[in-house]
Amino acid sequence: MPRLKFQTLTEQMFYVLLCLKTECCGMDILDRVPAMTGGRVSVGSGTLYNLLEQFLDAGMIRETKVEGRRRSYILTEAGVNRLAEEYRRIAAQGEDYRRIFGEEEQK
Amino acid sequence: MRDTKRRLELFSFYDHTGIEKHLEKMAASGWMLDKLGAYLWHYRRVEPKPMKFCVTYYPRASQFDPEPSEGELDFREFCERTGWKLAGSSAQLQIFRNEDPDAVPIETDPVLEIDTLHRAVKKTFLPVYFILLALGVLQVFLLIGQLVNDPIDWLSRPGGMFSGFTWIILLLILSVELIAYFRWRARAKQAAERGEFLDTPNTSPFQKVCLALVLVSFAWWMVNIILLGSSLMRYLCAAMLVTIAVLVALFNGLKNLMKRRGASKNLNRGVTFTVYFIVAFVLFDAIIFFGIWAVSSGLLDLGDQSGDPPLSVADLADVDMDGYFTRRTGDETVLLGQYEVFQHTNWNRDDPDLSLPSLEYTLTEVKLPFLYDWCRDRLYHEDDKRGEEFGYRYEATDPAPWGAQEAWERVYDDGGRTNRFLLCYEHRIVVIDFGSKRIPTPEQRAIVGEKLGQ
Repeated sequence: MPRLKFQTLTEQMFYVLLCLKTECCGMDILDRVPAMTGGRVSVGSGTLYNLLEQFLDAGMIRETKVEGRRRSYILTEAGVNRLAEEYRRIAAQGEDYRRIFGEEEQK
Repeated sequence: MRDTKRRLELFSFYDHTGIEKHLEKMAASGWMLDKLGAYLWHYRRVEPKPMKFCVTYYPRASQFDPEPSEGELDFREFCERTGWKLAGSSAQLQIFRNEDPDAVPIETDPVLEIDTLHRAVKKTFLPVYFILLALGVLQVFLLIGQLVNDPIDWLSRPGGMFSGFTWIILLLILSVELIAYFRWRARAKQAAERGEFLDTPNTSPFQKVCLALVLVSFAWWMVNIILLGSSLMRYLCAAMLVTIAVLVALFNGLKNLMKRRGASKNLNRGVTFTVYFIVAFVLFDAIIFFGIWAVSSGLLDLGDQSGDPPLSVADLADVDMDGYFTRRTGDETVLLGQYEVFQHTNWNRDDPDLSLPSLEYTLTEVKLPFLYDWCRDRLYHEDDKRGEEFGYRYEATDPAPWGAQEAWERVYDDGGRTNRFLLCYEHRIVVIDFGSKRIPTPEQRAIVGEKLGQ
């Protein structure tokens, strides 16, 4: 069954939003995400461009300034809430894992 | 040695993986994409090297945009930031290249990729294809109607066959393209749910075969028109081809001119389409009016009146042919040929001189044996409706005097004769009409067999 839009965030969506906790130029996110994840996650330029448009449409981020082609964004309250919900969901998954396998097995 | 070349690339609009693989192969063989032209892609010679290509779509772009929009330029700058340089673009289609073999792809989320592609496809590819599909279905229905009503005539006309064949091929291409796209989209969405990308279907080989078939069919039609067509047909054909070329050049020329002048997308679209349809209407009307005028003034003819028909009134009776009007029309294809000869005195319709003999006949040349019985049955039954109304029908008659394999004579229900005969020879079926008052003599029947039965 297709996933409802932003019902759950993909890893790329999660990190793009995370980058926007503080004001950030859209293009800089392309470098920030790999840096933040130790290269584990990268976001393609086309994917980022479309994600930023969709986040704007959904009111999860807002544009803060435009300098030439550099557009900066920041999370809105809705975006902060959505990110927090996603964190709780991921954290709940981690909690479930720990409960099933126990702390010892993780070592 | 040429440093540039242009190629006609037959890729589906949505086949980004097919385009990428093709361009990577071209770059590896020393040809780099330089520009996407209106019909041809331009390449320039480079040192052969591995190069990654990525085809993406910018759904809001239009072929009528005077220049790339701010959003499109932003998008390109995003791509450039990760090393992807624009290699060429055509409206929504954006092609980037990158020398880094490990570059992060432009699209890293399959769900978003499918969504972006579908937004682009909905704006151009799907509306155009669905309109053409509707036209194609209509044309094929008309074609079936022609085939049912007068199949021999249709199968004997190269022009009719060419246009019918082309519509069938077009319908086939449209169907394959639409089915391939929606099938791919359904499977790609499933794959995307697993986080996987799915290659787009490559219908390029199929499109090449279709194009080759249409070109061969077109060439064959041209040869038929040039060698066998009437001067009217040659004129119509040449005029239509020139007009289509003019219209295509006009559309692109006007669109590009308005883009250079900075006209807005909507203004450009409105003006270009309006001028295009007005000019098309005027030109096609002019062609038809000139054709009618040229035929009525004797500048062009409807059929080959210069050659002698295989059988003439003079072969059957001692008459002076000076007062006769002869019209020969006909066409042929690899399946069938059908020729009609009409030979009458230049009679006044209101006061015809019935004392002079006349002759009308139709020759149906059957080139493929399996069509023979079908053609004979069609010709036998073609007047059934009128026969019921006027009370006549075909009745078997002795084929020997005609030198034929089978023969029928059309007679009235009360036994009266119409002097119309259906004669079957080895590869030819003849329907001959001597006129209501003239019963053909045995000698005349033998002459018919000798002249038309060969």
